[in-house]
Amino acid sequence: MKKQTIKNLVHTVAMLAMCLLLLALPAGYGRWSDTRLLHSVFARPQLEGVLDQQAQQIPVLYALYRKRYLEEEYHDYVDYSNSAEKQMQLQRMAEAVENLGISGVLPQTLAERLAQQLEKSEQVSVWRQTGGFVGSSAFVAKIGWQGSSCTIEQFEETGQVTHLVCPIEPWMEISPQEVMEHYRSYLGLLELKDWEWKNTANPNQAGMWSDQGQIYLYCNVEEPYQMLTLGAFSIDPEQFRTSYLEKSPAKALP
Amino acid sequence: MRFAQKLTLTIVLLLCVTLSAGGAWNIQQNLNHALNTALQQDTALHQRECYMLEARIMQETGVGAVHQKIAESVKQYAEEMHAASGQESAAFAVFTREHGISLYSGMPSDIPYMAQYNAVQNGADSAQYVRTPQKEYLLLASPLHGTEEDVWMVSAYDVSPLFQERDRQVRQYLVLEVAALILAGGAAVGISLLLTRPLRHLEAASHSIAAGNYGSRVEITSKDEVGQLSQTFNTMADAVQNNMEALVEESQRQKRFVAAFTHELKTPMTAILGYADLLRSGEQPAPRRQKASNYIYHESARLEALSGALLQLLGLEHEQLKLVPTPMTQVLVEMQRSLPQLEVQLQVDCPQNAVVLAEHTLLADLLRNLVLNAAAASPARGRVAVRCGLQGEKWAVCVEDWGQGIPEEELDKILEPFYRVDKSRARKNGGNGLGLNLCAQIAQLHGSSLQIESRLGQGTTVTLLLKKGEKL
Repeated sequence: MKKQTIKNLVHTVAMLAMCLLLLALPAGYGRWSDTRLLHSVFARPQLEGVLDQQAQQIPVLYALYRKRYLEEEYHDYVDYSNSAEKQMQLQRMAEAVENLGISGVLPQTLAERLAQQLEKSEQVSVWRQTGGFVGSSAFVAKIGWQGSSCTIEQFEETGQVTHLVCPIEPWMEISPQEVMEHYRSYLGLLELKDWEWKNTANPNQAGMWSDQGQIYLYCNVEEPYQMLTLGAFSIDPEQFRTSYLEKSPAKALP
Repeated sequence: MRFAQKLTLTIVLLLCVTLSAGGAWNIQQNLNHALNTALQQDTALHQRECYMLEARIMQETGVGAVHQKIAESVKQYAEEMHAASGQESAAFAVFTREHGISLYSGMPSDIPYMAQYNAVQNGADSAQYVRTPQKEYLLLASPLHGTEEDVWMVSAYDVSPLFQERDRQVRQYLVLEVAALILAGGAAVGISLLLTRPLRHLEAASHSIAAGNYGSRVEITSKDEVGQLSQTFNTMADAVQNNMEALVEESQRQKRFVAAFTHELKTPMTAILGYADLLRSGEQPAPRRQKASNYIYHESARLEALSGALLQLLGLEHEQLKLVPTPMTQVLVEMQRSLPQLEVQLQVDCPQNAVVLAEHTLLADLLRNLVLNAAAASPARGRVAVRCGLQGEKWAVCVEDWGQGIPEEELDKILEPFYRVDKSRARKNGGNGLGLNLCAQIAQLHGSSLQIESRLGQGTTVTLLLKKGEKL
């Protein structure tokens, strides 16, 4: 009887000890999982809106894309109008315009006249933008309606123009679509194969969109003011569709 | 171990397993979810920081700057970030991938260099965690575009709050689990005791029956398996009690038989001894000697007859009869032939077609005994009738007399061995008290019984029902 009682007691104690061990299971499992976690390498989640790897290899495209994530800052604004460096800055602007002419983006006559007028300009100012971009503005006379400012934004690394506002002569016939075609080539974006036109009823406006490059190219010829606006910016595809395509759907390039 | 104890411990153990396993899984799932969310957020943050640092380096140093310029630029950027955010230092470092040269490090000092280096080597699509004595960090590494190819940024994000929250959940769950187990354990004890109560009652009843209290029964409170077991137990106890009562009855019957048999032996033996002693004591007058010798002879003969009857009774107890169709007339003729002294008194009335299933000799013996008893109970040369007739599907054989009859209170005893209604007269007539008992056993072997109807001073009728036999 006594032996049986001791046996019962041993069994009871053993089962209760097992219960106590089981109580420690969540903590033990947590420690074991931690060890596994700390000795493992995990795949990083794919972020939405990340630029395609091929597109990342195009410097200006990557710089424009990266700019989206940076706070827009304009700093180091310098007025070189009375500075010894004025001519150097104007020369830089003129070269950029000439390159646009050579590339066929601007009509050759316009590019040459703009370059000439820029080199003669009396006022020039320069500023820097976040993400490796530099902006410059100079007054050009004798072009367009009583003369106007010419503003250029360039990617510093390559000198490519990413934004241009310049005056034009009223007799110049400029096709925004043609400008777009050449501008796409000028920026080195022909590798992107999914370009599509943004439909617009206005023949003086043209826009092109690449989903792969998340980039939008635009060109406006503003006749009343005799101004040409040309540029490129990166935007999230979803946002682009919502903001730009809803009113005027895109049309694939032939 | 008691069954209730086993049941309780099993319930507690199963509950413990379920709660612990479920809790462990649930808490770990929470941590995994939180880590995944943090990984998603920190990956986006790291990407943005990379863009910012890239832009900064490019702005200050230009493309393909040397390491020293990059290091200075990064340091300045980190200081500005520190000034802007108020943090001690930005938790990131910049490495060359190929040689692992640290261009800048704002990492917490307890994050090992090798962990950072491995993060760079594992590539831009990977993530890993590192634990320091104080904290846990998520390490993410990405190349910086626009710099020399092998310059990478490694960011460390503090995820220790997630692990602390997990540990807090574990502690909280432990308290909850202990409380649940105590409550469930208490409930399990109660339920186990409740469930096993009928079993304890069964055990008590079993002990009681084992102690000789055959009337003990258990109360049936449910219709489940335990209730059925209780029912079966009660049925078994009923059977045991019946068997025990039968055994006791049989034992008492045997005691009565032995007592009666002893008495039956003792009376003639005493007389025999007395007369034998008289004869050996000396020469006796002739009449006395004759009387003593006669007495010794007759009592010895009666003892011999008694022995024969007893042997016949013992033989019948183990006999398996083969019943065959037997004409009743044949049986009655045989019976009459064995009773020539009653030829005048005996009246037999039986149809010729009466055929019964019987063992012919034993049935004749049964009727002979009944007729002898009837004749003994009748006045001198009193009439005894044997009638045979159909009663339903059976043949009824009746032996009837118009003698002294049997008192009603003795009717249920007259089939016992050695029982005599009128003891002195029966012994005087040579009866040994076994005749009716013998008849009852023969009737039983024929699948029947003796039905005795009697009225004191008017006579007795004994009826025997026999199965019909096919016509021969």
